[in-house]
Amino acid sequence: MTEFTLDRRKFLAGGAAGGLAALLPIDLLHAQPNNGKTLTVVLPSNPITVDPINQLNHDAMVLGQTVFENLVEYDLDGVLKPQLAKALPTISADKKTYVFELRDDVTFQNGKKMTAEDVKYSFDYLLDANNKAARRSLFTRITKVTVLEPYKVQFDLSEPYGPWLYFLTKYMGIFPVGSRQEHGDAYFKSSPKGVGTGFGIFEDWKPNDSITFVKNPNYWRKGLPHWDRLVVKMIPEDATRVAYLLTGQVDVISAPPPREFNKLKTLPGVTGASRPTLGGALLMYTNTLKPPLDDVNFRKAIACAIDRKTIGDKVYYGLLDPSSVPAPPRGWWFNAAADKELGYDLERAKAYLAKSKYPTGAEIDLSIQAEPYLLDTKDAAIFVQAQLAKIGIKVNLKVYEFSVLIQQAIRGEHQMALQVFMSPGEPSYILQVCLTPDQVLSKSTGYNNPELNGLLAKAFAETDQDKLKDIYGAIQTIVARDAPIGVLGYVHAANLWRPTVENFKVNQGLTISVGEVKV
Amino acid sequence: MVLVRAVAGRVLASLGTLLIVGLALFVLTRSGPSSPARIVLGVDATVEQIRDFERVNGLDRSLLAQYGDWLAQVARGEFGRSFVTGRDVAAEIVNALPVTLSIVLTAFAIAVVFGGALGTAAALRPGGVVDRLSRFGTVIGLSIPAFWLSILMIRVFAVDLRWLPPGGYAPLSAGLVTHLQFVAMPALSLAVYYVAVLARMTQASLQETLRSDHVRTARAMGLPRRKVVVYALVNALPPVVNLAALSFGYMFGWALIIEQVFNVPGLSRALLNAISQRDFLLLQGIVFLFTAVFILANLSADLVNRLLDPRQRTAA
Amino acid sequence: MTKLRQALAIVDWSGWLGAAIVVAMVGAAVLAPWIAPFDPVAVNIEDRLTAPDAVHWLGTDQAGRDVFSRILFGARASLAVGIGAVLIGGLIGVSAGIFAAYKGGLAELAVMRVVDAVASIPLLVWAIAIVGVLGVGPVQVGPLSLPNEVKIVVLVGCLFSPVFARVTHAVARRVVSADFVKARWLQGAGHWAIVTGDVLPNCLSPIIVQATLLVAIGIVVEASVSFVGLGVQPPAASWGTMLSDARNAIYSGEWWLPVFPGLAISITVVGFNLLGDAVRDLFDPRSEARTLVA
Repeated sequence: MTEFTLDRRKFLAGGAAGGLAALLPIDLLHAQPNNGKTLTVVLPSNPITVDPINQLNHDAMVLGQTVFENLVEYDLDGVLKPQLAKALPTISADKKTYVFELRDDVTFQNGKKMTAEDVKYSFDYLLDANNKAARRSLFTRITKVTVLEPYKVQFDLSEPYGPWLYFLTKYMGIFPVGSRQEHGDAYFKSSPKGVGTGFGIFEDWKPNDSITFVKNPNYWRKGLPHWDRLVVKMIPEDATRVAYLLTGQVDVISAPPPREFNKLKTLPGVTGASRPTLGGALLMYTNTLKPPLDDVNFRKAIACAIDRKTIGDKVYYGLLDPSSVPAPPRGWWFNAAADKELGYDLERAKAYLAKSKYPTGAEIDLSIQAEPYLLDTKDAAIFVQAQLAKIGIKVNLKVYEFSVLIQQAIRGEHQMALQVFMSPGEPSYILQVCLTPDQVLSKSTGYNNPELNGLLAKAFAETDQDKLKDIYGAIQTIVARDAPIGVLGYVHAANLWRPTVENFKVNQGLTISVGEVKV
Repeated sequence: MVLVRAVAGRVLASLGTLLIVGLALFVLTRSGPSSPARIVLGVDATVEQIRDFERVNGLDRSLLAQYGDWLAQVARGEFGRSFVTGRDVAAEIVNALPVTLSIVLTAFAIAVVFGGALGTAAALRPGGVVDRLSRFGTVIGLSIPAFWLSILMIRVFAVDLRWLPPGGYAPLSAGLVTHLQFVAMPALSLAVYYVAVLARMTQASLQETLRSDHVRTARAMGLPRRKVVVYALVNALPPVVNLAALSFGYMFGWALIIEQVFNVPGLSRALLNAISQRDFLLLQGIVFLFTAVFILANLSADLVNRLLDPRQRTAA
Repeated sequence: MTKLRQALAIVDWSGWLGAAIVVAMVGAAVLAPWIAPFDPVAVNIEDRLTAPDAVHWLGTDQAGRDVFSRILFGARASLAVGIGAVLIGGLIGVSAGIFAAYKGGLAELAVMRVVDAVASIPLLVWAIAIVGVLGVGPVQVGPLSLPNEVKIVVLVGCLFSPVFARVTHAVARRVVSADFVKARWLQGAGHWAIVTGDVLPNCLSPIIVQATLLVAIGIVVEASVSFVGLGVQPPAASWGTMLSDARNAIYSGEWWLPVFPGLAISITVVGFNLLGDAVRDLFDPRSEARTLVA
């Protein structure tokens, strides 16, 4: 063991000494010239679309966020800031009317000025059911968008619903009046030239290889971006992604393999950082309608039998913050007491199991995802299987592709399913989608509790953070009591980049942020 | 004339096979457990949205009708537009094909040159050093999985020696030397098995010819050794060429795995992405292309056999 | 008996080596639960990535699982797919070949055309595509939940069948039209008696040769499909998935992770290839030119 650790260190240090290029013969480096103004970032998966209103993959959102912008933006630290609006909206006393003042110095990449008409058009398009926007359901509480003045727009909501502002960055963008009819959906999906206000103009999509953008010379934030061209490469292989960074073929990579990350980030020629996300949860959907999960004590036994700290520290090398409730430990709404209630304690797990209808244990299926997303959940699943075996619960791992797994969860056909669930990073999304009725993933848990539903509705109407903390705290207490959903923890977003890259910051919202980066 | 008719018959039979196999492929791609609508429309899609999507994209029509449409398109050189990515399938294949082709062709050249040379050298001196080495080496070559060889080669040539890049791809336009540096390891690991196969075949075929009566007669009549060998080589050729043509078809399949190891943006990446995105049209296009290449390889193996082998020529 | 002894005498050391490897591997696969020192799926986070030592002979992987035990259990997956596919392919192919030769006429033509069609399907591409479309989930047959490999076994078996069909057909045609079989007809022998008594025994030796070589190909196909994530699913051990998991180790230096599973595949395949060559030399020394390619 020792010998090979040394060997590895020597190899990595050698790479660093050689300007990290030593892995490659010199002429290969010049094969892909970097004239100092091209920023190359790497995604671990192959995107389907650039269109934000149909975007499902949080890694791929870097594409839409390069081209499109929103009224307000959820920044790298999770703070809501004005973007195309001059300031945050003024909200009426009944919390149902939002008025935005727009910037008057913004032009689209096709040269048209951006006005309130464009905002109305964009939202009307999103909300029209005929247009089948995948993200429409998040915004259906908007009943009407009205242009008050050329640079002033009003939104009317059917009921108080604060979280919608937080969904704008990831699932929406402003495009020019008539552009959808003019260009069609395929254009927005795969070659949206000129239809956004963002800092990068779409240039080319080489399938399975890369997508390129050029600098928007008329970007409203003067002086940005600092690069002339942005290349987003797709490299699904963990090891290859790292090799490309070490050999200088790319500047920034996302989703480094956890095991390598801690070693690589300390190398002189590589910079790396990670930060906890507020919305990326490693969830274990427990179908409470299917035995043996229909028994609350059985579910609590499972919750208490899982050593989340070891999973976080040892399986994922610190890139997972353990939590047993649907709230990130570093979020302001986290309820530590509730977390402790379902935390790791083998004796309590055994006690709960003894109290349940299945005191001698049971056999149960755990569906897991074949392809890694953020983290390879198979690693955790194998560990969970070993842990539950200790209290007499036999877990059968069943592997499915993402598309099949998510369908099982939507239809409630699974017993337990393990998946990284990425949400915008505000408190309500996971609770609403997984734990309240008539939502997409309602059947993933089969849970319906009027008390929790009522608290959530109260939270939607509240804007004061202190009061919200109490409401979400109470919700977590209910979750700790009923254990309707398994939570293992919240993932960290991690990136590695080359020292030639300046101003790069890891985004707590996961998506790589490239607008202010210097090369 | 007889020959022309035989060739025409074989070509027609191959086309028919392609049509039938294409239908099988079509049925299979439609039989998966999850609809592409779920991938495109996402987690939040309603049942109506999915039904609409399937109607708009013609996924709700009968399989035969869909297949007919698709064939008509293919005949025009089009593979349709993917409903998952919205991109032109033919364009996507054309994009990735040169990458795979470059690796397969390089591997094929290596296999033919080295396989042929090794087999010939071994056959000329039965029981000699080359013969014994080749017997041993070819069994090893037949048995080492190409993807494992790739992994070992990356460790040795990219990580330890740093002679070659660990993966990726540079097109020919980046310069021949650069191109070959990227293609070398994938092509070499792909070729090893076929070097072994072709060496064995060359050796066996050449030895049989050398033992045959007319070669012995030629020798007995005092023909110079070099002339005899050349004559024997020509006569030993048909089964070797036949096998080489077949190998070319098979190489495309194994290239899939090799490309995956080296992270080459070729057809393998396109195919595996198509699988994970449930992109039926793209998957179908790629598998159809592979099948067509394979059938073509079989056909040319057959035809070459007929042309080179005088017995078969008259028999036809 | 002496005849057999004489025949075996011509098998050289490589044939015996092949046989020894095959016997050892089959033994390892069958006896895996008893001879494996550790549970192949038992996670032990504290012991992960230890180099080979006295406790873990071939080291441990990233979850602390014992590589040696996983290789033993991996032999089960490999051999099950290799041998299973050959059995299925043999059953289909031999029946089709005999049926065609026996019936003759239009039926023969039709069957052999189908065989040609199946033979023109590129094995690996289709295996990947079909498992990809059907998904890697388990197969439900009534109350039974069969692992994903079953799909590969059936699929590869079907694609192996033309090899058997062609060999059997060629031999069976000769046999069916031979005088001694005609004589048996006249004696009133039934269809079944002729097939099992005359046709099959004559096809047996080329079938065995092909079968042995095809097992080797089946093993590599299983490893390859598992390598791209479409074969044996975790936590079950397979040589292909072990190699796939080991890819990060290329850079980080845990050499035992990529080396041993690869060696296991190669040695097993060498075994079947040597055995196949020896069996061919034994039964059918003149058919040396017929090389199997995949």
